[in-house]
Amino acid sequence: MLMRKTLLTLFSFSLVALLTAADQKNGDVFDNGAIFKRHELNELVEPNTVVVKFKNLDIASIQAKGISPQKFKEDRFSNALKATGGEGRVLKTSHETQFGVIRTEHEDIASVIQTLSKREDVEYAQPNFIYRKSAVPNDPEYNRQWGLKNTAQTIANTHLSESIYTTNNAGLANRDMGFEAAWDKVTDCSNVVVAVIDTGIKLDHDDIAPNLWEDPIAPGVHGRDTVNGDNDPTDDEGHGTHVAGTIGARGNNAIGTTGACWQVKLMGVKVLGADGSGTTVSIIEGIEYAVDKNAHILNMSLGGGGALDPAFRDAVRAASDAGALLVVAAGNEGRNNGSTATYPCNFSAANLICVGAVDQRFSIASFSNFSPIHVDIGAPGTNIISTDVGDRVSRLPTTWITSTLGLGSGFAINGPDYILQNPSNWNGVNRYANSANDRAYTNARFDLNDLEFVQLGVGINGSVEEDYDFLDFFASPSVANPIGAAYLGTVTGSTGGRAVKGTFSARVCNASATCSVGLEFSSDTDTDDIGYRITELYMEGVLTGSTTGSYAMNGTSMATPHVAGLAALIKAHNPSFTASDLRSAILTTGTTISTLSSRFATSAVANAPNALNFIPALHSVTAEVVPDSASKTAAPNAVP
Amino acid sequence: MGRTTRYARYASLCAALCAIATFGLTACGNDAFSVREDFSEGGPKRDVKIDWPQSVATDVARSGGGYRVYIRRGSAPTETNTTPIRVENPGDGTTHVTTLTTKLSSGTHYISIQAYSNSGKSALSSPITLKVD
Repeated sequence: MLMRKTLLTLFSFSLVALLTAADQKNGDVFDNGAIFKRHELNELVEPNTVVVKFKNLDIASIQAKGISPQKFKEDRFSNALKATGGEGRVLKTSHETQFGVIRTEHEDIASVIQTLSKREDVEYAQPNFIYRKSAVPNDPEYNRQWGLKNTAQTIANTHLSESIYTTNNAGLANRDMGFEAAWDKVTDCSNVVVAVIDTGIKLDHDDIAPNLWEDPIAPGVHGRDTVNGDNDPTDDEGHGTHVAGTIGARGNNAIGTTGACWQVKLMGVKVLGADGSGTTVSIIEGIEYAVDKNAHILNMSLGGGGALDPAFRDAVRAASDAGALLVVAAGNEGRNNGSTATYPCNFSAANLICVGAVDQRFSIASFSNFSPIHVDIGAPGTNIISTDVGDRVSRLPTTWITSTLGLGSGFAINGPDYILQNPSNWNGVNRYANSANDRAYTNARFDLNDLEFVQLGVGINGSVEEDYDFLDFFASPSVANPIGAAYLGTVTGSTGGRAVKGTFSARVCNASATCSVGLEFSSDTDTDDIGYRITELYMEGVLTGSTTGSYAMNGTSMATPHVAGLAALIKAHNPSFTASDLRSAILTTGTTISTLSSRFATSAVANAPNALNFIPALHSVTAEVVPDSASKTAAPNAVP
Repeated sequence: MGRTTRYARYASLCAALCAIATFGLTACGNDAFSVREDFSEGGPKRDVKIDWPQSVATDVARSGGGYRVYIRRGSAPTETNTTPIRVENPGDGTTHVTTLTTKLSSGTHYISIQAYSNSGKSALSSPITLKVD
């Protein structure tokens, strides 16, 4: 259904359009600023164009005068054109309906309309209104995607493991990238290939499968896995699927979320393993694959600090030189990349954009790396809802430790939720014992028979001697006491006086109906502390075989695909744009935020409609004196 | 080459001049629609042909899009110090008008082109210089 741009303008212009010719001839309609302002007219009507409707012909009287009706009709348009000042032309006419479209040189089309409306043979004249499709997708999670449309909504977690970023949640309405306005112009990026260089993509996700790239010379192949050396880039971690959804979850399909592009070609390039890490070699191979397969845009929500990696740098530069746009994450350490380099963000490459994260009020996210030199621009990176690897469910430890058999001397059950604390009298002041080795494990086990991507979720408050005293987590799919079985991870140090949430991958319990979880608290011989209270503990996973699901995540990894998706929109709308044009379009049109001036090189957050309106400057202009009139022709290439 | 309404306006001016061509002041040939007269300076005029590449931005070829030609004698033009000649594209989504013939009097002229659309405009191109004797 076609709708005018806004209800307000619908009302305003309908009012104008429905006014009678007599009303217009009073001369107070299009001169009346109270009805609409000049800039509104310019934005919502075709410039320099007027639609004119003539009164019905009295054929008999015309013929009685010896005039051809056809000639009479044509003359009416010509005369009407002359009445506007003689400048312009009749673009098209319909002799059946007696209306025509006049292209006038007058930019003040209101005066042209007024002139035409005063003519006796004109029934009415009006602007050529611009209609647009309604560009609001029907995806059920869209109202939570504040980066696309910020309505000052509060983003709440819908899964236990989601760590909601609480600062500026809710945010400010319209502090978003303006995608709805951009979608008025383009939603379909299916002529653009975006490589998601990450942990892979869940290929059978209902919101992603329709937008997958397919290798033209290898049907059924949607990318590459450089970790395992095959052509199956299936995501075994989840990060890449989330990133891919922000770029191009199928839009307006009434499923889950929408991407920046409603249709696009997503190439899965798995360079990070199930643990979320990769190597120089796996990443380079992924970049080279994407370039070799002619990806236009490479999204790299990955990085690391430390020593320069020349091989990685050279691969990035080669991709840039080959004409690809690389959109990369700034990093999540909350530090200045000018002081501590983060790669690939800090690599110098012509077609690279490094993206930092902002929150729902366009303040820089606390975790986002920054640098007015190395980090180019900001994008939404907190509480970002996007595609998940499946339908996520949680299982609580409803029968956690029912006896003291497995309970070490330092542990105590903390409250009615069967969660633990150490020391047993934890209150944030009492201290645990040195040389402790306290163990606890579930008595009744978790039934995770229907789950995959299983992880252990914990919330912890407290402090232990960092790197000397530890709380270790274990799991087992089969034995009752998992201590010493599959190690999941460790917590050490301080939580800063508050409960913090985290997860450990527990794939060992995928599809296990008898998953046990255990904890081991150990301290060395000196320096005690207040210990830990476990505030939350659960197992979570996605239903095996499910093909939907969405999830909230935070990070510059989430900000980056907002910009990559925008780049794809621009490329879709302007197929002749180079990577350099795309970069300029994004970096020169952002929404300037004064508080970001010392954070990002552009002091701005990417703005989708502005970037879509970007027009590159022209080059190679030439001028010459026409020879037969010239006395001399000068070289036209001097630049002052 | 597509005709533009801007050309049409200057065509009408030229037609007026044709009427006095017999006095030897100017001449109007078949290409009169693409010629703009520079009336701002005295002295003899030369025909000058300016060419530019078509914009890669899709919207420039759409309705309301085209090019603005900035010409300034003696120094580089800006959007504020020079009134441009507007060269409008036909608006069919594909056709670009990428040339303009105008008359310039003697001197060094700086020329920049700006592409525009219904919703945006480019920066001015780096100015080129043209010396007309």
